[in-house]
Amino acid sequence: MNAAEIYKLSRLAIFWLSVTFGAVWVACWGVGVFIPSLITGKMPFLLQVDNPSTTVVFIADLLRSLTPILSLLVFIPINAMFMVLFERRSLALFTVRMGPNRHGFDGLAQTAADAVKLLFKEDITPRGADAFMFTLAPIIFFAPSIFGALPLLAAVTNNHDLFKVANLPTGIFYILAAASIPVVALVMAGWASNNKYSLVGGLRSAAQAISYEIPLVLSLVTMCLLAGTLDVVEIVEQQKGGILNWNILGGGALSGYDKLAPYWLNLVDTSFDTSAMFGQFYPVPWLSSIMAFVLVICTVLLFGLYLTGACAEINRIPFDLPEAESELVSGYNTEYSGIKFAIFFLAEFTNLFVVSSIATVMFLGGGDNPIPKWILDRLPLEPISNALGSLLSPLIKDLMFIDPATFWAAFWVIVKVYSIVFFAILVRGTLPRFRIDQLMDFGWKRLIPLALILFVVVVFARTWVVCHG
Amino acid sequence: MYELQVSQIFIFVIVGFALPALGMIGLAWGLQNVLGYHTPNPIKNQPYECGMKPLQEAIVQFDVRYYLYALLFILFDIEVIFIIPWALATDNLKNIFGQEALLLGPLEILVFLIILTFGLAYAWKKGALEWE
Repeated sequence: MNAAEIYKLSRLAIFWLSVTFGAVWVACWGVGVFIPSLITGKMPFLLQVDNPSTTVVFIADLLRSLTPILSLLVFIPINAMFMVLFERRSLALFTVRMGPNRHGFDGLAQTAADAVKLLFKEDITPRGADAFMFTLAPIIFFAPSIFGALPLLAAVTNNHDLFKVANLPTGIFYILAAASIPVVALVMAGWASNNKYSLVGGLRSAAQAISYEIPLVLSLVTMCLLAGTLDVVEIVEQQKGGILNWNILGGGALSGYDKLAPYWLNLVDTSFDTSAMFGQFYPVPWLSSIMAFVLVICTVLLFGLYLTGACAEINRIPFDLPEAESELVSGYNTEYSGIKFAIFFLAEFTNLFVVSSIATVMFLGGGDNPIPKWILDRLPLEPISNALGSLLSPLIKDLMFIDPATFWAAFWVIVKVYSIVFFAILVRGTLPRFRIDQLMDFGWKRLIPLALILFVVVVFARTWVVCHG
Repeated sequence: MYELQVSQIFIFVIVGFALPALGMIGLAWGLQNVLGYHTPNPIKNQPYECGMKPLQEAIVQFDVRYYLYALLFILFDIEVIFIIPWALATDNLKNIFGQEALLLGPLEILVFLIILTFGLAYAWKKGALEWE
């Protein structure tokens, strides 16, 4: 690969991600912190009010509780714009092309230009189409990626005060329920278009989604079994303490930090000091070590299973049969133009991002630092963080300017999520498309039995580790 | 707690649907009508079939090949819904004498999955999993 192109790509990524997070931070801070404290008279250095009226307090609370949704609304379009550019440039990198590099500085504004162009397009509703359904389909396709992703926000921002509202005790269940809605929209879009290509695309997408939802959901349920909870914040909390405690490596079964035992003993306390437990390296008989190892192999396989199912669920190559352009023109969105097409496009990339975030939260420790704590303690980071902390702390206290824990959580989440996105793009650049019968066979005759077997093995290996670990 | 959660989900869903709907209305009927062209004609509004004149309407009765898959999907989806509460409760199961019984949960789910796997194997053998 070309080193100069990789350098350009990373430059683009850094620029766009800074813009995205700058915008999200400004929106969150403005609506969640600045305006509420200003109108209730709590802002230091500015107007001070002793007894704000009830209405004002209510408005302030309302604004605060709207922050998660607002942050998503700012985040999703800007992030999708970057993802499109990232995908096109990465594909260009894999196939030794230039990629879009004209608009803006080195192709920076390519997707912004595309979005403006789509606004200027004519909005065509084909003859004989069901106009109401035709318009409703993009909305229903896009909506789940907003309200389904909300519980994840609390998990990826280290349960920040502003995002606590978005957490649900049944997080994963709710996310899965939301994730199964878009397929309805695809069938609607396909049927309402009065176009044979669209119809076939919509029907294929339904067949594919119902086949691959089962392994996907089974792999997530197995992870919930390991975690003992459906709450995404708690699942992230359990995985803290470096890569060995992440669920992809058995959730701490290898490091001797056994998070399963406290659950069994009903001593739910997620704030233990993992560094202290690391010293006694798995004080168990050899069979327990083997069981822990089996657990780790299973969780790695489950991660692969999840990624496969997720790729099929969001119609990514190699499972993009609903929009196979060599057979179906463009599948379910053949007849869409202008802003409706833009919403489909936006939602597709947002779905990729949401699916990668679920993988990050369930398998890769959410916003956790990959370096284990016992290594971090030996690095000379303390003076630096102390210096930074003393520099920032007055600001944190008075203005709630920025929270370092949330910042680092968001940073690691973005690194992990974009690694998965990059992997998905790599797969797109590498693999050909399945045929529809191969796809169904692969789903029903390979993935579902594999998911069931892994589930049973994890159940028993976990019980063994709980008993004897 | 439960009521709070239900109302929270309700608000999430309402807001989640309302915002893109409003955005659609604002962008598609507001901005795009101002910025974009609007010159429909019968040829342009034809459904796209690679340049050919469409022979018939596409909204017709269509042979859906996968209703057996759909039936099996319902079976497996309900299975997953059964597994979720089991997965959360399995560590607190007690046997009939009120003692801790760690193997009880795993054995129960094993029986459940074996019965289910027989169903899948039967469907497989009968050819329900062949795409025609």
